[in-house]
Amino acid sequence: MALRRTAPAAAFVFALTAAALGQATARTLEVGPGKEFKQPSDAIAAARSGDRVSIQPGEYFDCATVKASNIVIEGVGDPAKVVLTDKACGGKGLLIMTGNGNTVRNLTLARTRVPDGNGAGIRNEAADLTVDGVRFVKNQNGILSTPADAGTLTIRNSLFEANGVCVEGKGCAHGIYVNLAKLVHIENTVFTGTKQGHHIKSRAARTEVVGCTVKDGPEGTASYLIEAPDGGTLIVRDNTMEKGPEAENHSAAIVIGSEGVKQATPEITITNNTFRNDGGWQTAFVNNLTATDAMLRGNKLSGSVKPLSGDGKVTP
Amino acid sequence: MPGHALALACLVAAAVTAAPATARTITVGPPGAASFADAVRTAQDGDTVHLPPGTYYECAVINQRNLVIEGEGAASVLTDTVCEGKAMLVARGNGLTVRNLVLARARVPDANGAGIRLEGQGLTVDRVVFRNDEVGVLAGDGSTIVLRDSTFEGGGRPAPGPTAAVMAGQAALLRVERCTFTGVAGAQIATGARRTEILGSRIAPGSEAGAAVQAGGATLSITDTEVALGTVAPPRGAAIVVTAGSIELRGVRLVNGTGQPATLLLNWTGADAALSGNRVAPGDTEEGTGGVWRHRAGSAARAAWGGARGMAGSAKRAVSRLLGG
Repeated sequence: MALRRTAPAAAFVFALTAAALGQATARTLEVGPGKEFKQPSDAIAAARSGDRVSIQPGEYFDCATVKASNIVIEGVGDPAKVVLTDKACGGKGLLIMTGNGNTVRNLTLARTRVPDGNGAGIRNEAADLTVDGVRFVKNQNGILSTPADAGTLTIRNSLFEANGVCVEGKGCAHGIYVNLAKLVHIENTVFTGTKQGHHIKSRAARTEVVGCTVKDGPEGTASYLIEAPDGGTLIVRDNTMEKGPEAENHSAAIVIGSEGVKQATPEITITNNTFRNDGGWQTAFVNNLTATDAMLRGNKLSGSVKPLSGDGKVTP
Repeated sequence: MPGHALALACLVAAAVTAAPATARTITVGPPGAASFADAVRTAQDGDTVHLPPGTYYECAVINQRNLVIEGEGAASVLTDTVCEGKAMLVARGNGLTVRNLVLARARVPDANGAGIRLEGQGLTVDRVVFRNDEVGVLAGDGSTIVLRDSTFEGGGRPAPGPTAAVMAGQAALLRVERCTFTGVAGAQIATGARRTEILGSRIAPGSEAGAAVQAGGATLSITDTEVALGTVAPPRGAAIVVTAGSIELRGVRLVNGTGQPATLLLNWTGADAALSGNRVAPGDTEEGTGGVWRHRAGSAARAAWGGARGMAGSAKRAVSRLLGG
């Protein structure tokens, strides 16, 4: 009873505060047949800080540049049925984030292509992006983050399926490719069937891959499962990982420092992962090219696998 | 302008053009060069590149002659980054001086990532700390290498290398003056230099011990130097192994922490060594010659094998031979 009596008072105080600060109330902008906005890009263009863009199920041949900050873009219902597909804005991809602190949730980003070969489901050009429950299917890059400091990128509960490509003379696209950032945290996310590029490539100061599935599968042709080419802290914990028979790079699953170490590498911790090599060749689970000891503990390895190449310690 | 004035002006201009440019100092960081690599790129023969305190994830290839790279001591650190898959400083120009800085954490897939790789002639290293590199200094043939008041600590890569903290190949001269070697795994100084001089130094091999000094050039002279073996005995229990040339050891002290008898000098040259004022503990040996015939048979076999494989680089061959690789 006490709660019921105070609730209206709390709402009143909140309304008063918002009015006093001159803030507009956060709105929900609905997208879909019979809704205010026909296309996601229409609602995204109208969104202001704090708004939510809510997209009904449907196949949208649409893309958008997200200039607003602190907005949420989300699908309604089954994420496999809210699909932005095939288009690329600015020669870059489906959602181009130029505002900071945005969240993309519960939808599918598919089949984007650009001539450069780096079309992305999400192209991040700002800071502090959260991706939750998003399916990235058959794009060139799943996510490509390009700024000099992308702050914190958080990717949770998502799927990266059959992304990646290498274009001669133009480089490779990957499942996730993050240039500089303070932190990349990837959790409870599935990477599978990545083509040619790496499943996860990160130049961040700190990269965490926790509780994920990273598998080539029978047809994936990926290079590495995880690459931290510039060094930086790398934490890989509680994942299920596999290199498949069609993998184009047999040398290793996880590689640190492969393009020359360019930043502090205080820690490399690889713990409690399961890794299987389904290729008919030997591979290294971890190839550490930095002078920081890679600490491997409690990993279960099967197939033809050398646990560690380079500096570090392997503990059962 | 009168004719003679113009002629004079031309003469002066010609003189200015022809005169050697004054050596400049290029400082890394604002308002100077944007990066260490930029500073080295813009430097000319005889210039000094000054590295203020800081941690630099950078490396450089030096093509200039008589360049000086100078830091401000322990706080000026080049770290982690290797050029051409070889070294933090790849010295291709002659007469490089590196002074008063730290070169740390060199790693390459080949396992011979060096602080300094000398491909030109002439290197002076003064007050440099080589910390946790696979190799401290790796030098090619015919060069003159002077290492002074410097420290080699940690790192080393005895396998699959094998490497040493200082690998002098078939240099003309290697002079190691008041240097400290501490905790480097594997061999410490491997030299095929025509003349090797080690003086006033302390050589304490790390955990995976190799010999402190492996020499096979024309002359080896070690004076006023301490060799401190840690808990792990080096191969054949010998601190210094010499396969060829003349040997002079004066005032060399062996400190043996292995718990087993050790030999200060294993002399496989077949010639007498000049020994004086050296100190070894009771139970240890100043000079031994054991195993020389087996060694000679082994080296002949290795030379034949190396020749058959057509290995490139006599420095690599020389050091490999010294290290028994």
